[in-house]
Amino acid sequence: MKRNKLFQIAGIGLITSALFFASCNEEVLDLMPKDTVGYEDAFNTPAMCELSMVGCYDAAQSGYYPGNNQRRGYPFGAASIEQGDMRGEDMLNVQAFFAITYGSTYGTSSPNGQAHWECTYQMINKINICIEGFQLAASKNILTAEQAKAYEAEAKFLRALGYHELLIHFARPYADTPGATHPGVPLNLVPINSIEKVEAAKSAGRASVKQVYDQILLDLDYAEANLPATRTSKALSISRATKGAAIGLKARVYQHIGDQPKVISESAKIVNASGESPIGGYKLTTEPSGPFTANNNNTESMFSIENSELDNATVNGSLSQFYTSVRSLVCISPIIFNEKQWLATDKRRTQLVAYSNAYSARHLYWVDKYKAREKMSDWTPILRYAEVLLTYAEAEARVNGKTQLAVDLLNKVRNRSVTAAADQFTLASFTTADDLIKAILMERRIELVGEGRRWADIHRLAKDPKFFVAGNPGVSGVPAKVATGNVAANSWNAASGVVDAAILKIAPYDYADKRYVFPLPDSETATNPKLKEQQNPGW
Amino acid sequence: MRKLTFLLALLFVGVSVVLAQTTYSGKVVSAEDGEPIVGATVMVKGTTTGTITNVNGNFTIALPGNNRTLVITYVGMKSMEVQATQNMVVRLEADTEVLDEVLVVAYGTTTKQSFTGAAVTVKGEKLSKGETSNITKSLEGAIAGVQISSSTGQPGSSAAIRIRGLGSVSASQSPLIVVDGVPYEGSLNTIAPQDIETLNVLKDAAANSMYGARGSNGVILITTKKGVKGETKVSLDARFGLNSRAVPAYNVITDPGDYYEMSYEAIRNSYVSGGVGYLEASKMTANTLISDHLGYNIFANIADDQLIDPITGNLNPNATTRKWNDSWLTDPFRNGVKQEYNLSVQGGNDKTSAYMSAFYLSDQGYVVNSDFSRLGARVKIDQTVNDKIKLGMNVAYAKTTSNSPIASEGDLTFSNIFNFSMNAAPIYPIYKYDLATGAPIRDANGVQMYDFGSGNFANGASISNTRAYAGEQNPMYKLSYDSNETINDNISSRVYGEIQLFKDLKLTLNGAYDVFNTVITDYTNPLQGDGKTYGGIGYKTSQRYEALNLNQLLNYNKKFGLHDVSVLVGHESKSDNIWFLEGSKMNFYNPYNPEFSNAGATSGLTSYTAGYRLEGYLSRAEYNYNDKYYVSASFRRDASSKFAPAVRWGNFWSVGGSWRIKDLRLRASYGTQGNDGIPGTTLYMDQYTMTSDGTNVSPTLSYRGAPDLTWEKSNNFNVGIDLSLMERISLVADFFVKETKDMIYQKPLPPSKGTPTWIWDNQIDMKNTGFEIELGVDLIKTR
Repeated sequence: MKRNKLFQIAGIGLITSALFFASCNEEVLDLMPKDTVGYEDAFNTPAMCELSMVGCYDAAQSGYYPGNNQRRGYPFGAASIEQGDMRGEDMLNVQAFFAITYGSTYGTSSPNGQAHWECTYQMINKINICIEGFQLAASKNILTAEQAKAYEAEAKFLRALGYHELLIHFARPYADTPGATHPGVPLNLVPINSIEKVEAAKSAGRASVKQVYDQILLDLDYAEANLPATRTSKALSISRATKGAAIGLKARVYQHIGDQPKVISESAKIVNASGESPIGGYKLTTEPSGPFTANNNNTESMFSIENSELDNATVNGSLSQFYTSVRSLVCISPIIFNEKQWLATDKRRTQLVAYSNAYSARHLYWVDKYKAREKMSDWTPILRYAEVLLTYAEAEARVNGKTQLAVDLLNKVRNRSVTAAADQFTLASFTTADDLIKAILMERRIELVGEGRRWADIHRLAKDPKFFVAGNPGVSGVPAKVATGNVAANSWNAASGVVDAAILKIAPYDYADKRYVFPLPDSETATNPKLKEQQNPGW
Repeated sequence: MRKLTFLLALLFVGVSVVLAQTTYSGKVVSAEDGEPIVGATVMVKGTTTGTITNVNGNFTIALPGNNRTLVITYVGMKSMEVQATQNMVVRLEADTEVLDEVLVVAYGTTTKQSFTGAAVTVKGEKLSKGETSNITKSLEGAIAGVQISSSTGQPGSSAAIRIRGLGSVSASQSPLIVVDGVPYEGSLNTIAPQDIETLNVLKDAAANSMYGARGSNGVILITTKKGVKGETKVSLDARFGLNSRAVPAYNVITDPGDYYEMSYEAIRNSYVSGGVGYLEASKMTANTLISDHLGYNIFANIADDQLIDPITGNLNPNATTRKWNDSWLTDPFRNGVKQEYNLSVQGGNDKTSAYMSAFYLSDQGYVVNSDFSRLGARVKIDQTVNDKIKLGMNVAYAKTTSNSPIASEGDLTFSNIFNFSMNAAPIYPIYKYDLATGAPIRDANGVQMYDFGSGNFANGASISNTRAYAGEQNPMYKLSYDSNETINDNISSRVYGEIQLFKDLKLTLNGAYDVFNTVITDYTNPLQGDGKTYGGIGYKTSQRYEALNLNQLLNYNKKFGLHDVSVLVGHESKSDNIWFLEGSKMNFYNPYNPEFSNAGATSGLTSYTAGYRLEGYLSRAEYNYNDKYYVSASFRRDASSKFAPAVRWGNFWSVGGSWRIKDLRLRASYGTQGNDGIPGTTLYMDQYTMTSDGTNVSPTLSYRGAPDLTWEKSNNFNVGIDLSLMERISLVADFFVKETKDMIYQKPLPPSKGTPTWIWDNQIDMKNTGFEIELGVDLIKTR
């Protein structure tokens, strides 16, 4: 009996303690996920900060295409170039792939516009998370203040690039309203990583075009101040943001704003009479093919997106597949191929253009700037020194008229490919400054063909009273384009200056047309009532 | 009621009249209310002499000799032996033992009588009659308020179980499955139906709230068989059967001639509507029907352009002999053989009882190459150590193997054999033939090739005719050469100890550790079809899931006169972990070998581990007065590792009552349960996953933390009646209102705010209301 009692007491003790022990142990509920990391852990060591920074470039190279979660090079791995070319007239859509962008038949649910929007904002949010993370790491002495600033500067360079890309496609150009008060895009500058921040950001709606440009310039000024001029290798100096790239991008942005003196002052920082930039040592390569044959190691590329055989815009995005006979999707248009200023003897015709009839035995000329073909490892050119020179030339001619400097800047680029002295421009080649500006604008089309800059130029010139690109005759707009089905062997006549009107079957339209700007995608307006109200007119 | 059973009683007893020596009169009444009992049997002990009571409960009996012992029996009452006296009044007590079925409930058992909630019991025998390899399918139509839906006829697959409607949008809608007192995370196809004693479905708050955080979708309690005292019982259950397609295909064109005529008409009409003259269109269509449109001419000795007469639109009357007789509608289907064997040994003595079984099932589906098999054993031992301590264990192992080709409802790919066979015209063969001669075309090994709709031959020469449907696809080929095999090892072990601490206080400790290992091989061959462009593509998945569950329960039971009280308090903790590894490779060398050692390029490789923890404190009190009035209340407090510390604890409770008026019982209950059944761990934290650029990885925001995210709560109200009439008719009727509050869903976010473009949020409310009526009538009753 006594033993029983003892046993019972022991038993109760055991149980109560078991229950109590279990109840004390709340920590067992604080599981940490093992294959994901929390926000703070992503910036816990300098190495992790470095990887987070690399991750921002990865996001710039490719986010996830809506619907199938694939990577297709949106925004900057390939799509910024492909969309920029397909919205213009100098490249020709051969098959169905880009028919919607090329023919301006997009709508609010077109995947290309949607992907451009979504992937760019994916990148921007990732950048914003990293900027805050680098600051946090600095506050915890994980990074030095200098390191943190350098990372922040890189991130801001990419953010500026992203916002400018969004403005070019989803908003009207700076000159649309005096003071650029018309709608730009939503401006997110802090990480949106909580539901409260999402709600706050939603209610903000679209910032004005001026506000977005102001922010872009703030970011680029910060980048210029805090980025190194060069990095440990040439490749890194191209694939990671540098001081010179920030200045060059700023020159481009001021050009879009139309602030020519600023274009000059920025360009002058990296261009001088010697032909070699005092910052970053940029200079043109000897041959026009230089930036493309050695796309990760040359003096001319100021910023490119790194691709490799393992990581690229994939078979459904890569330039070396799309712009060549590998997939035969986008070739050069007779519009620019037949252009008079692009001389038949121009080196760019031999080095950077390829004929191929591999696609259905059709006579087509292809851009030969992306040479990796199935390997898809060409780096995607975002900013080249040649562009800066031409940007500078244009601003010089606009501000100071027909000057030797403007002609020299133009010739620096052109004479690399046009080697016969008789064919080269001199000051006397131009009657007026306007003639010179026209030649510079045409040279941009020739030099940068297949690099996605055409739409940006059409867009920025839209309200330019003299140099706007005409849609319908005499009216600013999107010009007529060549329809792929009409192109035949006799459509191609290099430097003839004649384009057969019978192949210009894709109708032009005016600046006032709603198609001039992409609509905000349905995926956005469906979840963001403010932006639904602020949809681009007509969509 | 008693009057009505008068006739019934006649079935039970033979009445014999004996010469009276001494005659006694008396009356039989109910001890409960003093009402007379009509039709009670009054027998003289040890004889066949007896009588039954009349409408007033009275009887008269003549006793032979000295035997004055009477045995009085009545259905539903305890039998009584009494010594006969004149004008005796016999009071029969209700036989509550018989009336009160034991009911398995949360953390214990109760009697059906004192249970205030809504629950239904299905006996094991009924489940094993279902002849399915997964007991979920045996539940179809078995229980009011429980919907069973299967989306595939794949043998062994689980049907979806929904109790009282859909309880959630994004979180789990499935009931909690509890096997022998512990939540079970495996598939029910691992349990042999023959091993099941009972399956209970708990439907309302009074029944479910004790499972707190996981009870909102209802609970299914499965109790496996255990040893019973007595002679050892050995049983062998062997079954053999055939599976065939029960629902035939829709009415589609099955005759090639009809198909040619219809196609001819359709194509001609399209020419006509395109502006071609009628006669011209007719001729054009007849001439090009095969060469430009359909590609295949199934009829022998008829030229391609002679199949249809352009004047009449009819099939050439000489088109009678077919070049091939393949049929997409019937050939992919077969009569699958099902075999099942279950050997069980059940026995025990005063101290020990044991149940052991070994089982094997092989279940071929009616789609070629679909099957399921189950092989395993179960041992359950209960040991009484002394009058204070009882121990037991229950261990089961089952290996399940299934081969499951794509054949599910709603899958509209060409790989789905159902979709394809419904849509392929009757002119198209499964195998490859010379389209002119109908001679089978064989590969280098002499095996007949499959028809992929292209690369055809006529008289041995290559021709450009192609199948007008599903180019480069042949799901029969996929069925034969691709594999999708899932092998599971399921180990389920449970131990318990019961300690009678005091006379009325019992402690129960339960521990359960289940492990499920899964290996999946999914292989698409490189020879033809989908895998061709990749050189074959194979996926291998390996997963280990372990679930540890411990609970400690204190039970207090006490009777004070007519008062009956029982109280339960306890604690439960759950700890689950998962290890996952998946890889895929392409470029296979030997097309028939899906192993990675046989493949070139790695196309994917990932692994992860994850966990889940649950802590709960539970309590329940039950009280009844005189077996007439019952009340119960329960309270449980649970914390889930999925939610943030501030919101992870949830309180779940219920109250219930019932009132028994003879054969009528009224029940009502109200309470709350929760649901945390959404995927993922630590849902309150922002999470970054690593994305690789081929060499380096960098963190990407992959999950938006929802710090306020908490339980879905479901409030349940239930009223019901149980009624039994004449021992033959039973009625159970329930009315319920189930309101789910703060349901979790993926709230979409604007893409301009970056990815992910959604966040979990508690936002939706839902209400399910319903009636459930179960009416049972025993038409033939022989006892």
